Amino acid sequence: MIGNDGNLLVSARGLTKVYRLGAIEAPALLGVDLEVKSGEFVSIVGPSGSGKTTLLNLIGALDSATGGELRVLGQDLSGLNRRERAELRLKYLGFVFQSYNLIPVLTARENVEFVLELQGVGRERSARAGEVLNELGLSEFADRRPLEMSGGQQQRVAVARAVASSPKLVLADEPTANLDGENAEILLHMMRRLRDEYGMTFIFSTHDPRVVEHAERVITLTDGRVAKDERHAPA
Amino acid sequence: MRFSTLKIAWRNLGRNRRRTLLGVSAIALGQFTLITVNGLNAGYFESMLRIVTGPLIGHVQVHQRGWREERAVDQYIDNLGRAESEIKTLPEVQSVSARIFSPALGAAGEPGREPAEAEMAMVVGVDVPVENREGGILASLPAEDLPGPGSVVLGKVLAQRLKLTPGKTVAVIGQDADGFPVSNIFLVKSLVKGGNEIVSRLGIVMPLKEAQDFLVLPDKAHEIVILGNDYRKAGELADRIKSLPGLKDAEILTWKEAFPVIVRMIGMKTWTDLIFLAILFIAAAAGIANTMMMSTFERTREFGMLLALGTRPGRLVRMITLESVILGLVGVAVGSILGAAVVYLTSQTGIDYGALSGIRGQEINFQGLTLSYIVYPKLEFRNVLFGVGAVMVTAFLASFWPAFLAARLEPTEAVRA
Ligand SMILES: Nc1ncnc2c1ncn2[C@@H]1O[C@H](COP(=O)(O)OP(=O)(O)O)[C@@H](O)[C@H]1O
Ligand SMILES: [Mg+2]
Repeated sequence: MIGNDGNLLVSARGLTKVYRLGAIEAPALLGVDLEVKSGEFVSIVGPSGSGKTTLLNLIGALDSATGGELRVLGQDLSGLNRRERAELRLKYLGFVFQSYNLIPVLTARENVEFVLELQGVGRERSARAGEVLNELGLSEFADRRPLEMSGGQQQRVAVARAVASSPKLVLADEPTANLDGENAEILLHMMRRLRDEYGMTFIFSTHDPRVVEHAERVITLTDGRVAKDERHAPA
Repeated sequence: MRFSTLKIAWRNLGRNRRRTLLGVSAIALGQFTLITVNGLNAGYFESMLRIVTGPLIGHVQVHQRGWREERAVDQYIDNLGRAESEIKTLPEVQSVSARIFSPALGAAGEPGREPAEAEMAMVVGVDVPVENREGGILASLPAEDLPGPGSVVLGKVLAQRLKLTPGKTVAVIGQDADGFPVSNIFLVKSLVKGGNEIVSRLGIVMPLKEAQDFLVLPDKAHEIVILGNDYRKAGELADRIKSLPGLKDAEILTWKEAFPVIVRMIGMKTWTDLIFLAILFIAAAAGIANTMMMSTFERTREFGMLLALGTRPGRLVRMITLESVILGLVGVAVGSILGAAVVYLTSQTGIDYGALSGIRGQEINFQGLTLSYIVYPKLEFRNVLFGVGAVMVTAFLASFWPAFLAARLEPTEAVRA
């Protein structure tokens, strides 16, 4: 079902999104062309309101486009219903949000276990969750609930949760927005390491220049259009 | 149902302890009230039922037609011996007891005290061994206090009016069936209270044979009280008695026909049970709906996040419903335990209903019967189950709306900062 189109994970052609609030139309994306290949480490930047979140939501099959074509992992997203989109997210995508990533009543380990359970992993999921946290140097937080962790620790657990089932593509919308510089650094290093060691593909948005430095490719959005798309030597 | 769903639902209830406690308390209070009030009712109505189906009234009563309205001495059942032996041939009959009731005047019988003040009284002739049993007119009297030849037992109220105590004598003036005056002096053996109001207020109780001789009513009585083996089969017993040749002209009534008001009151228990079940429904609905609405509305982002990860809406629905059901179960369990404990403890000690409602005294006279104000509540397991059922139904219904809203959320809710 999922074709690989020669390592092409995301391909957008003339992608548009117009939000409708009653009679008012708010155009957010005005024709985005974009390709992301397997193993890339991509940052989407741009001022607030430029459409970063909208674009990530479309790629992440969380929302549907109003026009243009969008293929993710070889699937034409416009043809998928609500249930099929949920299935695609669950099986092939990982998400890190700006906040509210974790279930507050579950410990770090249980949060990781929860997505593994959603994916149908059996009894071994507890051990798997422990391994993932361990691998990412988070074992000391395994039995803590989100409120017992700092914001930076929570975001690291969120990354662990997102990658626990080895997704093809990890989408992170401003994952460092609530973090200080040091914690932002740690998070980015962690993501880079996952890309380098496991070949995972990351697309993350940010408007923090220090975070952008870690990207290999920087796509700049302005008013719903791609203004720049440049290779970049990461720091 | 996956284990994690249960774990999440349970822990979510611990998130806002105060709110959960409020919901649990509302449900617990509802169930507690249902169990205790219905337990009190059950005890009260059961004692009432025990009296109206006990030896005082019997399952079936036989009188001459019209006696119940006029209570005249000459409205007797004749050929009593034949009637009684016919009744005793019926296999389900447990006991047969005949009574005589005849208005009379009573006065202190002591010589030298004059003028003796006479009081209205009622000569009651009874089958002493039968009435001495539990629930009978002479229940709880030791053998040496029972009336015999030349001796009587006085109703407590009458004895007070006549200033008589056991060991003294009472002068009785009555009328025989033909209207001729009769009189005699009897030894007062003891006093009796409770049971039948007429007996405690007016009664001069003597053995049936004594009364028959005194009032010139040979082989006659005014009332025959019959106990079968099951009060619920009183109708069938009455039908069989009606077909006996010796009783073809008599009025034969079941306890239900003799005390229709009490039967209606006992029937009302179903309604009080239902009213408190309805109150429980309302308490549970308010408790659960409030808790669930607040706890799900403030978790919009969390639900959005779960949906974004690919969680099926159905799973959110189960999570919320389970949370609601657990809340209901905890509440109903607390209410059941407290309610059952209170009903059990009070069933051992009894509750003074009169004191609770500010009435002095130990008993109430109702429909000619003396009922005790001391009630022994009775735990009806049925009501506990009904309460649990009601709370479960409410829990499902109350979780429906929040669950529906959560399932309809868009996953982008989570992403919007
Ligand atoms: N749900 C929405 N309804 C209406 N307008 C929206 C909605 N989400 C975003 N927009 C609008 O779309 C534009 C792009 O927003 P967004 O994608 O959130 O930008 P960014 O993430 O870069 O700040 C903005 O003008 C914003 O106001
Ligand atoms: Mg944004």
